[in-house]
Amino acid sequence: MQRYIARRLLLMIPTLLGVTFVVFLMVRAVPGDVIDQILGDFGAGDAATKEALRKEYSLDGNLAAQYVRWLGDVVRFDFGNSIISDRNVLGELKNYLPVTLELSLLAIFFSLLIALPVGIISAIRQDTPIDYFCRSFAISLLAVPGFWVALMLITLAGRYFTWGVPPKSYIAFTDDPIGNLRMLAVPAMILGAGLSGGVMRFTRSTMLEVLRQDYVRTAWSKGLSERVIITRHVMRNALIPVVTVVGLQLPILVGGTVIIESVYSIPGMGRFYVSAVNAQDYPVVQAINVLVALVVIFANLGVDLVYSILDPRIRYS
Amino acid sequence: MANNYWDSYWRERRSRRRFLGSAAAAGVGASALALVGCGDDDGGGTEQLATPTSGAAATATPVDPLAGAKKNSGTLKHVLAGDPPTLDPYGNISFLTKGHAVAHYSRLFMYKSGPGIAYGSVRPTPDAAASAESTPDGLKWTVKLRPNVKFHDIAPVNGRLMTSEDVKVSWERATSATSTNKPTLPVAKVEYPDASTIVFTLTRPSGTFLDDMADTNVFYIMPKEAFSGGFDPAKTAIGSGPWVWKSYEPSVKFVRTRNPAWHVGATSGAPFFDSVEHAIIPEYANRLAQYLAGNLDVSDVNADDLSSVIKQVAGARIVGTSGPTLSFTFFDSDPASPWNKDPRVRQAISMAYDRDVLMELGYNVKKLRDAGIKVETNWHNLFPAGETAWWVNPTGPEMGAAGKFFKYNPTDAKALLSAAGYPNGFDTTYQYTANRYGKLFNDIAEANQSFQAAIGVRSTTDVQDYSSKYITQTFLGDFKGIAFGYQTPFPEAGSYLTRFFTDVPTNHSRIKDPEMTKLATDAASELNAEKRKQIMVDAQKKNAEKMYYIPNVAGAGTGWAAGAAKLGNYQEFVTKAYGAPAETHPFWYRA
Repeated sequence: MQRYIARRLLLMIPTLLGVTFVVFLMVRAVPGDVIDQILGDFGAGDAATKEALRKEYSLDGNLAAQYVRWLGDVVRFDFGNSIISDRNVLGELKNYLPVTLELSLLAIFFSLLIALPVGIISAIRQDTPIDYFCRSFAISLLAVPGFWVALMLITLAGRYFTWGVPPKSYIAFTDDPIGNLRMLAVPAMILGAGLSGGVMRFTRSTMLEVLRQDYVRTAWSKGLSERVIITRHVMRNALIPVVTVVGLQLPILVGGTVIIESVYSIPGMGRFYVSAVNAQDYPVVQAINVLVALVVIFANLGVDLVYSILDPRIRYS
Repeated sequence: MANNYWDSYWRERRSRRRFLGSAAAAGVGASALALVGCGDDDGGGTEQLATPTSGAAATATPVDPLAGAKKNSGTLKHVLAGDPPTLDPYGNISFLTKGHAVAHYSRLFMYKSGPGIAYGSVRPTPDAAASAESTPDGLKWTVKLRPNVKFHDIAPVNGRLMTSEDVKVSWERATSATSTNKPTLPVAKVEYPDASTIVFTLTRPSGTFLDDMADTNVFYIMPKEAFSGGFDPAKTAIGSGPWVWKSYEPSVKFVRTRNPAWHVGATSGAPFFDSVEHAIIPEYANRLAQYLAGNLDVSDVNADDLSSVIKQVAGARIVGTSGPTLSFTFFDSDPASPWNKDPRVRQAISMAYDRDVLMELGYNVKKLRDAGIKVETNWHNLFPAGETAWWVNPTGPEMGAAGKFFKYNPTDAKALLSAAGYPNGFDTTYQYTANRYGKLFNDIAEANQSFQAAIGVRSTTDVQDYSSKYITQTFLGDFKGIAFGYQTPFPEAGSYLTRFFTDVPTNHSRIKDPEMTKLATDAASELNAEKRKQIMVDAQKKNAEKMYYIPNVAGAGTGWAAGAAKLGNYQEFVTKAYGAPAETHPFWYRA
């Protein structure tokens, strides 16, 4: 197992190197640049100022030299300063990432809270009205956009139940855990509801697959109760693939919560990322992409390792 | 999810201004401000006004709108739609950066707001300056600093007095190679003969010197410690403005406390709020919900929500602002293009637009009027409709014969196209950006295209990304076809002419008309108020005759904002550009 983990960690190096190269080139392939953003229409035609600013931010050399210099810094885990705000990128990420991670984990929690029971019930009551209802429920959760639900909830709260309006400014968990949950619970539920549709459908499919296995039929023939068969024999095997799906939701959420974060004024990675992309703030965009790549790689590794814990038949070497 | 530049800009502005109708400030021109002295502090102070040529002085009637102000008003619960890209006022052109800077840093001059002062007649008043005097030829301006301007009592500045040395280092930063907002003033040199005197020598007379100095885009006075490593202006702010830095959590909020030593509030005690908290809330629905729940003292309000807000919030202080943001159609500069071959093509396109329909589309006019709410529906001219001091009503008699080109008349428009050699119309490209200015702009951009098509100007649409294409190419005249966009609102209206008709990159259509260029340069240097007004009127009429730029209506309707019932004088203050944190917020108080 240790050799397997070591090999996977070594394989991360070329993957990350590829990510840095692609990200570095892609942000610069977009027409215009960060200096155009800084100057806007006021300085749009001011070539001298543009040149001076490019020099100041070391954007005037050739791309290869810029890439090597940046990569050298990244290896030391130094992502530099934002060209736009002049604040340290790593410092900014330390502020934004935990917020999004908390939101994402809460969303996954709520997603599982909905998806697992509904998926399981739907499978064990296949082709009954309960199953039809659960499947329709799942489809509706998939179909209704989270931002619409969020806007509706906020608008209705403002109009009809102002006590339901979320706190106007983000409350850190360390400052006030209850206030923090008040801030994040509803957006996490909305995100979780959106995620739960897919997980529920997947849970149902894998449950049905396992329910048709010979060993389950054997269990039935032995006269075991439904509760025992489902919880001890079916769920443990059926939920292994579900772990993969759930595990891969985390990196998606890290970069994919921008709309909910904007609606609820949550200072997370999504807002940070989108504003950086809009401003073509190279150091920030590059840093976030490298970070998300790291999250994806580690999430994949984590899922694979959890597999071996859940399924004793799986052994890595 | 309309989170973008102009939506944000409007939110900031709307939340701070009062609707005061369309009263023009006739006779208040640039030259009337050649000598400005502060006989008193605050908005109610006495000002001495004189022209540089005659030296005659007039005294304004002293008014004290702040006599009933309630000090210790607690915390003003304000809102921002986004973070400033940087806190350094010379590090980014964003209005959010300027809106932050103006809370902390003084300028030499600021705009005076208060009861009875409409948007179009807001004029400069001393900020850190005590007075400004020009030579009769308008080529040299001597500015004296107030003796009581203190920087905030924060290390390393520690509440020391401002001197001309601070002005000097700030001017050097403003004009440095990497400054993002270099002053466009015709300044030949600046001298600092003593600790309280600054002398600006100009290359030509400027009728807008004081406006330029009051413009929040131009010149902030920072303590010299900001440039010598004493503190980093990109991370914090230590100035001499009305608000003192307390904290900033990116994407969450700013907290600022009142500056008890603010020179402008020396008499009245402004700012009246003990502190101001700017929650950063990008989403309109959330801002409105927070306002309705009483968590914010102010919010922007969409026209669709106005009636319900009035019903739901007892005593809500609703304000409306007639648009100061110019929207306009512009054209490529290719001599072979139909509009450059014959000006009747441009006239026809202007006449193809039904501006009443566009206004209804953008501003929900009928519904609001049916609800008994007064809505301004003025159309833009070459100057935006909100610039009442200079704007000529396109539908009024002052426009003369050129007024007909603003009127919706598709029949005559087709006839003009035919006379220009295009009886069957022509094909072209129509471009605008849909990811910056918000839904209202986008709706009207689409409608414009339909109106053009109705007279035979058939176009394929190029919806452009703002950053990578529109602002860096199209806006600078590097495009083919017809374009539609917004112009940055300038506090000083002459800037529109300079940008549109002189040899600068923002002459979007590359107009080279000696007559228009002369009007633009004359407007910049004319010192006589009446003559300057006439130049501005002439420029609007001449543009309309040839329709180099076709003014539209997006931004010309009424933008709405709501203040809490307890904000006693919320509706009394209106200002220009991004000056609200210094020009209106300090004077608000709780009733």
